[in-house]
Amino acid sequence: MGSVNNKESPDEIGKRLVRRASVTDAELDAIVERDDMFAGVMQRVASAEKVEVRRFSLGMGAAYASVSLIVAVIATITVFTLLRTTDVNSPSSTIASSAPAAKPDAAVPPPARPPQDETQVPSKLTAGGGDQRMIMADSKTYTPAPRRAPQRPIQVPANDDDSGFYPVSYAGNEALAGGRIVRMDIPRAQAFAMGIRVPLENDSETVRADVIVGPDGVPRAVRLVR
Amino acid sequence: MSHSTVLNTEARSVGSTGELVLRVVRTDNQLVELVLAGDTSAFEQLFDRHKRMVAGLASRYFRRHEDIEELVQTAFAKAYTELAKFNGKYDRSFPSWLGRITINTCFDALRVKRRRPETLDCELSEEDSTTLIDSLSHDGRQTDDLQMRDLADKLLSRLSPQDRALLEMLYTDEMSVAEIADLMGTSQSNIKVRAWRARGQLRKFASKLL
Repeated sequence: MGSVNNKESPDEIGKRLVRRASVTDAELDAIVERDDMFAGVMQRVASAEKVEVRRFSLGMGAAYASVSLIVAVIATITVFTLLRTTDVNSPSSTIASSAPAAKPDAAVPPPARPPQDETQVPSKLTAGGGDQRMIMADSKTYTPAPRRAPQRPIQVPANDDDSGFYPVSYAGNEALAGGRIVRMDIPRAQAFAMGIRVPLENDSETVRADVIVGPDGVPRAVRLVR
Repeated sequence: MSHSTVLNTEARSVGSTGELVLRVVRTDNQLVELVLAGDTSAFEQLFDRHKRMVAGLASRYFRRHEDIEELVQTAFAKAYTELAKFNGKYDRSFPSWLGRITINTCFDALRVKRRRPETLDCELSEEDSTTLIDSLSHDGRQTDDLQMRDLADKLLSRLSPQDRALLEMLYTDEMSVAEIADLMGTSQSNIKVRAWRARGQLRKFASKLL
């Protein structure tokens, strides 16, 4: 290629090459001596400040949005939790409040079915027209909560009224008109069969009870005599 | 205030009408304090004082005049925005601080440019090489300087912009390794290693001309 500068080393040529390729002082002076240079600087400063303000406002907007979102999520969770708690507790509390307080000396008949099916109350026990609360409980629709509710106490059949009589489960749905009360001693096993929960340790013994006997001679209801 | 300080901060000149004009020449740090107090004209004085230095540094990384002009403006705008962070008493001088900002601005611009590369034909024809060698054999710049510079620029475009800027600082600006290291914010040994590699690359390109 070039044979002119064979004596020069590549380093020297490279050095000259770099010097030759650099921008000259006159060019630099021409660049920096322009009148609008400083105005351009201040213009850039102003635009940078605008961007900063915009970024700040954008950041504040994002912060507000985040806080609003968090508050909304917390409120939703709270409402949902409250609703679930109400769903779980309200039916049992309604049923429990609808049942009269059990008398301490009254025998309680056993539950008609397992406790899982506690929403359905025996519909047969309407003898004597004293099972209004039972019927109400029967008609109540209970929506099970998605979360399994804690084990509730076994619901006991309510007394037919304040007199303490319990309807006899196999007596049918006849009214008590014309019936009469007969006090008698009945074996414990029979009382248990009538639906009265009595201890069966001494099943040969008898317990004294008032039995409502219908006009057809069939017992309708029974209560234990203290 | 000592007498020498007074002499440093004041300059006497004779106006057009013959009266003696006392012009206060403030130091960079004093001007910075004025700018921070809200005096924009003080920043204009700083700009006038150091724009040539900033343009010189920018020209080591970019060749086009528009690029250099833009870099000068961007660097000064950054300096104005970050002026509160400048601590002239304990840290470094204002030109050094401004030079670091300029170098960083150049690096940012190079990064942007790398994302949008410009295609450049780096191959020189045999005729171009002969012309360039002939031109380099003469000392000083010739009348056809612009054409020769374009050819040299074409050849040196194979170097990375950082290496080329380093070589220009060493050869054209005749800066010391310590000065370059201070400007770039790196160690002297790092600069030496980079300079050695860049020289090797340059030697390779130059040997092709021979």
